[in-house]
Order: sequence, then structure tokens, then C-alpha cells
Amino acid sequence: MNHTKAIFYFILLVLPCFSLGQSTLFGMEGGNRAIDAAHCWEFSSMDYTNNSSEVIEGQFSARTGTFKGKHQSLSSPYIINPEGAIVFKHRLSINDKPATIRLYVIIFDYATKQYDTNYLYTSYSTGDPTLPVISQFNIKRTGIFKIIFSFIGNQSNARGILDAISIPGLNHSNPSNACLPKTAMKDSDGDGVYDTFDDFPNDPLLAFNNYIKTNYSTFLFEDLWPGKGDFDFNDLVIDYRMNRITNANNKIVKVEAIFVLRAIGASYKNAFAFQMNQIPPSKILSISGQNLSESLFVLASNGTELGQKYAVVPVFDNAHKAIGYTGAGTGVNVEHSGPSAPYDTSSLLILLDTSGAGVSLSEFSFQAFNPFIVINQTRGRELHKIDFPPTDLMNRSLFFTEYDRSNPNTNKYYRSLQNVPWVIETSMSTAYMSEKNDLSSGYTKLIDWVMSSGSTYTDWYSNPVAGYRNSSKLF
Amino acid sequence: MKYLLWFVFLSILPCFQACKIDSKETTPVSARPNSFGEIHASSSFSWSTSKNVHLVLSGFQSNFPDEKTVLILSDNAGDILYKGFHLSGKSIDMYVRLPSTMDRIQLKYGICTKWLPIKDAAVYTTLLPELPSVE
Repeated sequence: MNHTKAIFYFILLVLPCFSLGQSTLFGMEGGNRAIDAAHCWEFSSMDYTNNSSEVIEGQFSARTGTFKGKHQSLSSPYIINPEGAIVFKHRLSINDKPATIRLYVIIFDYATKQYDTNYLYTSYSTGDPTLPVISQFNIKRTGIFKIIFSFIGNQSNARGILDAISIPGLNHSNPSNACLPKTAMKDSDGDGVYDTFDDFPNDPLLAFNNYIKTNYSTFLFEDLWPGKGDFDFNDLVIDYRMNRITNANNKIVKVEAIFVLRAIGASYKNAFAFQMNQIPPSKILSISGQNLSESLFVLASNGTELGQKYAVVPVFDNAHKAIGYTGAGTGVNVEHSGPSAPYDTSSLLILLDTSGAGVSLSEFSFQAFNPFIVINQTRGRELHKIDFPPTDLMNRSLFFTEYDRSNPNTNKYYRSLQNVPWVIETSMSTAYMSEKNDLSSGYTKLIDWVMSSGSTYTDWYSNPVAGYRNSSKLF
Repeated sequence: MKYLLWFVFLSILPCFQACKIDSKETTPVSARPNSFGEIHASSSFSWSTSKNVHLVLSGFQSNFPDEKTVLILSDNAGDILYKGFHLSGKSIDMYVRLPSTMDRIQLKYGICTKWLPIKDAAVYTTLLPELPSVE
């Protein structure tokens, strides 16, 4: 190998797919078709070969399958204003005369969506088709184009080989947007996220919606903890959806949380709040939308509860007031002939401090979202989901009393002697039980799900087909 | 001698009784509870109707190490689970929360779009597109 050729190979090896000056070069020397496809080279029935009897130069060349009368092509990324010589090398893998095999170079115009096939084609019907050929032709176009190298032939065991492509003009495709031309994309707010992907295209501080779960979920509470309840799990029924809105750096800028109080099947005046398990209160700039009228929660100026290591966000402090329950009957929206009221919706907006490291999505994940009720206005009597920890203001002396068998030493919380919880969360908004009806009498596969430790009937709450639920007991 | 052999044989015979297959009638079966109050759940049961799915998405080296592309993960219904900017050269290790019933997610990254089966609450894949093989 002479010195000049060595340098040429080196360039092709190190820079297999890039724009140099005004040219886009492609030597295929990365040898990984998927990576080159990710950078907007498009393969249609073409692969790479490192077979020394087929490679034109370097270690890899592009290669078609055997010919069966269909086009097999390699398309360039979009090239802007190509002007100059398109140069490439090509050949067939074997001499399979008299098969008629051609290589077309086709220009695709992004603006008109037209294919121009009049530029060049090479027929391998004459001469020795296995000898590499260097083809070159000049192009001068204004606009955005793809250059398509397309082999076609009738039945033949030969394969088309292609290598060392040089196209005059800059690579103008954007891998981030399905390889469409860069100028075809708009970034109205200049945050680096194209409008196509930006959920807030006109706000440079916001970029993406990230829901903790895609749909509304339902919390079903039994509020007699640590005592034994009646297992209708309708003492407080709340739907929620939590959106963590991130910026272009994937940091949470704000949280939009919607809580829908659907029913109260209890006389207790319960409050509802949640702890952000890994986030200190200092990371919260402000909270709006809380429904607070009692003196149960003592708040800092940013709306979080004072005296907590991690941010605790009170949502409402008296469910009765929130839904307009006067105390008559056995609750609200739990008996078909009993008191009813429109659902009460609390829409919270929590602004986070994005300075410094900010808060990542993993720091406020589902596991870090720790909802709880404060039972009957007694601040230290918190009820959380099973195995979710209490806040700093919990009266821990209540653990392991009555039916509770929490063991903080093993991070087991809010489990009964029978390992059942006082709170159940379903992964979609679900019907809840009418008053005094055992949850398993409405959801008839619930017990099977539990007894299988969750391996069967995972859809016990979501499947509406016969045999899964007793609708007469659901609300 | 003959009596001795008989004695040994009869002595060890009861040891093999334990190798018998238990008859179904003698195996205790825990009765299915009739109500929630009768449930005795496993101490390891989480009671969760959703699951954490571990995603390990391998990046790929290229000549564009600073190239950022939007990664979008969505569920069967097309609802987006995650959306964020990521460098193509960096691997991603993250968790998403999905209903227990969900058995696949869709990944979009640049031109790469693929459905990924969830096995043992985990997904391992690359950010590269999957191209059809060439005959």
C-alpha cells in the first residue's frame, strides 16, 4: 500500500460517515449497518461485506442480496445544495453474464418529492463486471436532495458492491427527527428541542411531559388503621395523575398533580398529602392549588410542611369540607340512595428549583411518590401504602398496635398480621365498593390474585368481562 | 444366615415408606378465603398492581458523540411513559412504572422504532434500529 492510499484509507476508517468541508463521504468502514442507518444512511436490501473477494477497498463495502428483479439501494442522508462531482466505486461480486444488471443513481428532491432517474446508470452487461469501476458525474442543484444508489437485475447469483462514496454538499439530515432535513424542523422557543418533540414549543424552560403513570390511578383507603376495617376500601377514594414536566436537560421544572376526591365512606375527617421521598423541601420553590382550611399542617412559605426532612405536600386537610359532606348518612357517593356530591378536584402546581443539579425523574419516581392520609385530624396518625415509610411527623408508637404489624427495622410498614394493607392502588381509574361491601365481593378475582402472590389475574381490577366483577356492589 | 438377611431386609423396609408418593387425600390444601378479611397473604407480596421495569438501553459509538436525540417510550395504547434528550453514545439505565398487565413497550429514538417485550420486569436493547437481513 503506498503512502497516499494509506492516508486515504485512514480517513475512510476514522471518518466513515461525516461531512468534510462541502462533501459527505461514506466509506462504510465502521462495518455496522445499524449505526450508519442511525445516522441517516438508508439501506434497502443492502448489507455490508468484509469478504476480501468482494470488498472494493478498505475492510467493508456495501453489498446487495442476489438479484430477483427488484431495486436494492443505498440512500444518502439529505444533502443541501449539492454542487460538484459525485464519486463512487462499484462492481459485481461474480461474473454472471448474460444477466442484465444495472446501477442507477437517482436524485430525490425533498421539496417536490420527485425522483430524477435521468442522471446516470451503469450496465454490467459488457466488459468484466467484477472489476471495480470508479464512476463520477457532476451535479449542481439548489435545495435538499438524497442521492440513491440503486442496483437492479433479473435473476442472478451476482451481488452489487458499492464503496467509497463522495457527495458534494453537507449532510443535512437530523437523526433526532427521523432523519428529516434540518430545515424542515422548527424550534420556536430555541431550547434545542424541535417543536415536533417539544410538548411546550413556545416555552424555552419546558420541554417534555413525563407522567408517573400514563393514566389516572385510584387510591382506595381503609381508615381505621391500626384497627381492623370492614374491607370495603371506600373510606376515601381518590384518583390521581402526576405529570413531571422536564426541561431540555431532563430536569424536573414543575409537577402538575391532579387529585380527584370521588367518595368518602367514613365519618373521619381525613386529610390527604404526599411526601416526595428523595427531595428536600428546599428544592420546592412554590406550591399552588392546595385546599387547606384547618390547622392540621403547618406550612413553610413554599407550601411544604414544616419539620420534614423530605418535602411533604398537603393536598387537602379535610375531605368532608373538600367534597361538601355535611355528616348526614354514612358518607358521600358510597350508597346509591345515600348522599351524593360532585367529585372534588385539586390541581396542584409545584415549581422546583432547577439550579445546581436540579431534580431528575429518578429522584421523583413512582417509588418516591409517597401518598398518605392523616386520619381524623390527628397529625401523627398517618396511613400510607403498604411498605411505604411514614413522614417525620408520624407517631411511631402506633406501629405494631392493634392489627398493625409494621416493623421499621425491616422497612415493613402498614402490614397487618395477615399481611394485608389498608391502602390499595389500582393502575387505572376503577370502580370502588359501595358501603359495607367487602372489596373481594365486587372484584371476584382479587383473592385469586393475592393467593397467587400476584402471578395470576393481574387484571383483577381492570378486566370488565363477566366473572371478574360484581357490578351490583360497585359504585 | 438366612434369618439374618430376612431380619436386615425387614428392618430397612420401613425406611422406604417415605419414598412413596403422597396420596392426594392426605396432602393438606389451603382453602381459598371467602372474603378479604380471611386473606392471609405472603409476607413478600407487594399488593401492587404495577411494576417497575428496568430498562437498559445501550448507546452506540459514532462520529457524533455530542448528538442528542429524543428518546420516547410508550405503552400499548400509545401513551407516553418517558420522553427525554439522550446522547447516542451513552447507555441509559432507568426504571419506568407500568401496570402489571403490560408485556411490551415501544421505543423511539431517531429512526429507531421498535416494540420491546418485557421479560422478568426488564428490557435490554440498543438504541440502534433493527434492519432486516439481506439474503
